Amino acid sequence: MFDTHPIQDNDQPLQLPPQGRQTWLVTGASAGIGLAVCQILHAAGHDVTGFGRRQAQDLPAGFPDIAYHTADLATSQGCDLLAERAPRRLDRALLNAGLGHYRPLCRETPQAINDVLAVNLLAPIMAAHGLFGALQAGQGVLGLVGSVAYRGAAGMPVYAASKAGLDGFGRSLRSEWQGRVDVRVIHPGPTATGMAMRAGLTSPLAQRMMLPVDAVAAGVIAAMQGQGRMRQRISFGALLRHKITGRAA
Amino acid sequence: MRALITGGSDGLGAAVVRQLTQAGAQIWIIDKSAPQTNPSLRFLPCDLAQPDDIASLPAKVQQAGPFDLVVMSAGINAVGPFEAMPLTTIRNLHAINCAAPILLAQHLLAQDMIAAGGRLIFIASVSHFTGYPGASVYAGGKDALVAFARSLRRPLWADQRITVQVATPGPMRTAHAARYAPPGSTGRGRACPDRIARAILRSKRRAVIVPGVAARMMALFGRLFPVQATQAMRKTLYERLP
Repeated sequence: MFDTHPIQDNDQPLQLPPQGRQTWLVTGASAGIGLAVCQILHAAGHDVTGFGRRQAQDLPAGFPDIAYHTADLATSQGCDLLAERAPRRLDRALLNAGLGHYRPLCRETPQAINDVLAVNLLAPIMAAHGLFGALQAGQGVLGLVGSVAYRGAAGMPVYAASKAGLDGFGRSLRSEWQGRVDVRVIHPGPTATGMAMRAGLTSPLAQRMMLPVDAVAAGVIAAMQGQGRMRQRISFGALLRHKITGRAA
Repeated sequence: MRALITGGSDGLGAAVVRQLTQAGAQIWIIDKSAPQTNPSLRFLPCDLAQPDDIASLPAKVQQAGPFDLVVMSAGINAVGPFEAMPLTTIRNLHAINCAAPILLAQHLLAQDMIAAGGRLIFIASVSHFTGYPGASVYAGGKDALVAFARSLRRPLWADQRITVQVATPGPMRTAHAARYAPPGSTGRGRACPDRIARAILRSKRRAVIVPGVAARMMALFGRLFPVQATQAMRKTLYERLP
C-alpha cells in the first residue's frame, strides 16, 4: 500500500525563506487538479506530501519530486494510512481526491454509488478527523475540494450529493474549528481532467466549456491562502477576476 | 394508496405512518425495530447501515409495490466536537443518513417499485439553511440528500412522472430530538411531529418543503444571513455541549 517516490528531476525548487515555506498535504495527487497543484507547490519551494490511488511506478512523467504515498481512500485502511503518514505539523491540507460518473441514477450500480460516496465524502471526513492535530499544530487551513455540482446536477445525482455533503460538512466544521483550524470548501467548475473524460464528458463542446487544469490548480492554491471565505467557486469568471485583480476567487 | 416508510417505527416516520393510516393507506415500514404502537402494521426489519440489507429489500416488497409514496425518514444523529467523535459513529452516520437513502432509491427505481404519478420524499434537516456546528457529519449527510433530491427531480418527472421532494424539518418533540438537544434544554419551541408530517404530506408540488413555522423562520434567517445563522447555531448548540 505504501511507497515513497524517489523520482529525481532537474529543476531545483526555489529556495523560499523559512517563513514562506509551507508544509502541504494533498490527496488525489497522482492526476488531475491534485497533480497540477503538487507541481505548482513544488516549483514554488513548498514541502509537499501527496497521496494518490496510483502506485509509485505508474505515476505520470514529470511527477514532481515530493513524498508520495499510495492510498485507496475508498477503504478504511487507506484513510488510516493517510493519518499515519501525514506530517505531524501541517500548514495546508487539501483534500482533493474525487471520482464521479456523468450518468443518471438508473445507470448507476450500488457498488459505484458506494465508491463515489466513500471517496468524495466519507474519506475527506475521516481525513479531516485524522489530520486535526497536525492542522491545529500548524494553525493551518483545511481545504475541501467540492464541485459547482454541489447545488444539484440532473446528469450526475450521486456525484452532486457527495459534493453537497462535503459543502455542508465543511460549513459546520468551519464554525466548530474557528480560531483553531480554518476550513474552506473550494468548488471548481468542470475542469479538463482525466476524471471528466472518464465521467463521459468527451464531446467537443464539453471539452471547450471546461476550465484548464493548471489555471484551476492555481485558483485552488490561491483559495487556500490569506483570509478566505468559507465557500469559494472557481469558474471562468473567477479565474478572470483573479488575473485582473490578483485576488483569490 | 401504497406507501413505504423508512424509519416508520419512531419519530417523524411514525407520525407520517399515523397520518397515512388515517387516510386509509396500505403501509410498509422499514426500520431496525418494530413499531410499538400499532403491531398490525406491515414491518420489514432492516439495518440500513448494511448495504447488503438494503439490496435485499426490494425483493421482500416486490409483491407490495409499486408504491405511490416512498418516504425516506430513517436517520440517526450524534452530537459532539467533530474531532472527538468515534470513527464508528462517523461511519454509521454516513451509512444510515446519507448512503442508505441513495442506495434504496436506486434499488427501488431500478426495479420499477415507484408508481408513475407517485412521490418520493427525502427527509433532510433545516440545518441545510443554517449549518449545524456540533453535528457536522449529520449536517453533511443531510445536505447530500437535498442535492440528491434536487438532481433527481427533473429527470424522474420527465421520464416517469414521479415527483421527488425533500423536506427540511426543524427540531421536533421526538425521542431523536430530545436525545441530541444540549443539556438543560426544555424542549420548548419544538414542533409536534404529527403537524410536521401533515405539512409534508400536504405539500405535493414543492421541490424543497420547509414544514412548520419554526423551520421556516430558521430557513429564512439562514438564507438572508448565512454566516450569522451558523454562528447562532454554534451558540445555542455547540457551545452548550458538555
